[in-house]
Amino acid sequence: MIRNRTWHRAMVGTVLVADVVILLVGGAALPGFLPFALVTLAMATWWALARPAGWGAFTLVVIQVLCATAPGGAPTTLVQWALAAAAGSAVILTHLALTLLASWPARADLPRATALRWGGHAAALVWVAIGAALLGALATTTPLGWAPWIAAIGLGLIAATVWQVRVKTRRS
Amino acid sequence: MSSPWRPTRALGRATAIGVALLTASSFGGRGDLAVIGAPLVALVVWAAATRPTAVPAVRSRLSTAVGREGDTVTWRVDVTTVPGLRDVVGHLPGDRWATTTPAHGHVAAAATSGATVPMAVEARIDRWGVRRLGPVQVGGFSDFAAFAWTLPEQRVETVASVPNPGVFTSSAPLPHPVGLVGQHRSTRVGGGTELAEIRPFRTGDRLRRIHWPVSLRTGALHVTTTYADQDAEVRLVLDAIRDLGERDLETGRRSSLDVAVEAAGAVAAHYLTTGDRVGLSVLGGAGVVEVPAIGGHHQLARVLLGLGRAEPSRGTVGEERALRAQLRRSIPPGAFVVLLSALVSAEPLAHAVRLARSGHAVVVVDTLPPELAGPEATDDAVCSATGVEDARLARLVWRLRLLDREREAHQCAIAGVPVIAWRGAGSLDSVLRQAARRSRAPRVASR
Repeated sequence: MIRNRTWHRAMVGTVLVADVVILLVGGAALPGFLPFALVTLAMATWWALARPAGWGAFTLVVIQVLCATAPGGAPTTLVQWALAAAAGSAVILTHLALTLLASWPARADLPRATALRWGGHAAALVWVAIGAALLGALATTTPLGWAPWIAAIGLGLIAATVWQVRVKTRRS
Repeated sequence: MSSPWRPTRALGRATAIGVALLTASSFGGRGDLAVIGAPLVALVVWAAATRPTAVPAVRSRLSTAVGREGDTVTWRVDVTTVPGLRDVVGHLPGDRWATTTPAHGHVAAAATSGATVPMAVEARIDRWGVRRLGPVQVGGFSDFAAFAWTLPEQRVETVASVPNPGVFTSSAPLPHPVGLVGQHRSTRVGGGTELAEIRPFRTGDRLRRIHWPVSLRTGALHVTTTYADQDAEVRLVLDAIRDLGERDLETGRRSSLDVAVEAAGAVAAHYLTTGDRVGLSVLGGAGVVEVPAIGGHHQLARVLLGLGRAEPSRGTVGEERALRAQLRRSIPPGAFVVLLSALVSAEPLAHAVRLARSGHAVVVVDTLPPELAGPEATDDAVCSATGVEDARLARLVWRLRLLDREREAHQCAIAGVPVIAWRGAGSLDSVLRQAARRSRAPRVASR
C-alpha cells in the first residue's frame, strides 16, 4: 500500500511537472507567450487540483493543449515533433493524474498493484504519443510517394495497440 | 435493463478533447494536435474495449455478532470480481462508540486474480450496546476509471456489545429465599447443613439424624435438625427512560445508563455465583428487554446481552405503550427487586413503591453520576440533562429537578423502599440486612 499522502503528492507533482513541460513547449515556439501561459496555467492548475472531479480538470487540459499548440505552427522539424510528443505526454499524464485524484478517495491508501497498473497504462499512452510524433516526423521528412507506406505503418501501430488491449483484457 | 456501470467525467473529458483535437488536426493540417489527441482517443478506445458489464456482488460481514465492550471486530466487505473490474473502493464508517482502523474508514483494493476483492476495517467497540457500523458505501472502477459502479444499497452492520460487569460482593442474606436449593438459609427447618436444634425423636425422623451423645445422656432418642438451604429470585429493573450525562472515554466520565448497566451486571454476576435466580427488565428503553429469572452459568451471558440491548427511550408512542405494559407485568412473590434508576422519571419510582406495598423487598439504586448530582456539573451536562439551551436557565431547572428528586427519594424511603447510591462492593449490604430483619420479625395479624 502507498500511503495516501505519498500518492496524492505524486499526482500533484505529476500535474505540476506536466505544466512545466507545456510551458517549455509553448515558450520554445514563442518566448513572449510565456508570462501569459504561466499565469493562465497556474490559475487553471489551482482550480483543477482543488476540484479534480469538476470542470477545473477539463479547463486545465484544454488550457494545456492551447498553451502547447497556439504559439507555434504545424511541426516540420524533428525537434518540433519531439516537443509535440512531450506536450502530448504531458497532457495525457495530467488527464490520468486528475482522474486518479477525482476517483480515488483522498484518504484511502493506494494499493501497489493499482499504482503499477496505472503506471503501465500511462506508459503505454505516452508511447502512443511518441509513436504518433514519430509517424508525423516520418511523414514530413519523406517524399510524398512514401505516404501509403507511412499510412500502413500507422494502421499497423493501431492494430498492434488494439491487439495488446485485447490480450491484456483476456488475461485479466 | 441499463448497465450499472456509468461513464465518468474523465471518460467524457478524454472523448471530448481527443475527438476535437483529431478533428482540428485533420481540418487544420496540424500534426501536433493529432499527437496530443491520439493518446486521449487511444484511452477512450481502450476503456470502451475493456468496459465491464456484469454487476459485482457484495457481501458484508462482521467477524462476530456479539462482543464485549472494548473488543475489536473485523468488518469485511467482499466484492466479487467481474471482467473489467480493476479497483474497488469503500467507505466503512463506525459510529460514535466504535473506533475504526483506519479512523476515516476509507479502504481500497485492487482486483487481482482472486474470485473476490476483500476490503476490511477493524472496529473497536468503545461502549456497550448495539453498535451500528455503516452505512457501507462501495464502488468499483474499470481501466483509467473510465466507468464507475456504486453499490445502490447502503448496508448497515450491527454488533451487540456486552457490558463489562462491575465489581460487587455482598455478605448480607437475601430477604425472601423461597426456592428449593441455594446458599441462603431458610427460615424453615428442612434438609440442609446448618444446625437448627436437637429435639426428641418423632415418627418419620431419619435414623441417621439421631444424636447419640444426647440420646444416651437423656435416656430418650434425640435427633438433630437443620435449616433448609434455599435460593432467591433477584429481579433487576433498569430504568432506561432517560440517559443523563455524557460518556467520555478520555476522562472516564460515565452517563447514568452506563452506571446502571455496570451495577446491574455486577449484581447479576454476584447473585448468580451464589446460586440465585436473576432476571432483568429494562424499563422504557427503545427496545423491550425482558430476561426471565433463572440460575446457572449461562444466565449471566443472557443478562449481559439484555443489558447490551438497553437504549435510552426516544419518547415514541410505541415506547410509552411498551412501558405501561412492562409496569403492569407481575413479579413473582418473594422476589428481591433491585431498581437501578437515575431517579428523574416518576414512573419507575412509583413502580418500586407499588412492588414494596405488594410485599416485595425492593431496593432503589441511584445511578445518577456524581458530577451531575453536585453543583460542579458542567454547563454542557446540565443543558443536555434538562434540554434547555440557556446555561443559566438550565442550571436553575436542574437545581429544581434535583430538589424534586430528593423529595421523591425521601417519599420512597418513607414508603419502605430504601434509596442508595451505587458504590460498588457492599453497596446493598446495609439495606439487605434491614430487609432480612424485617422479614423475620413477628408480625401483627388482624383477625
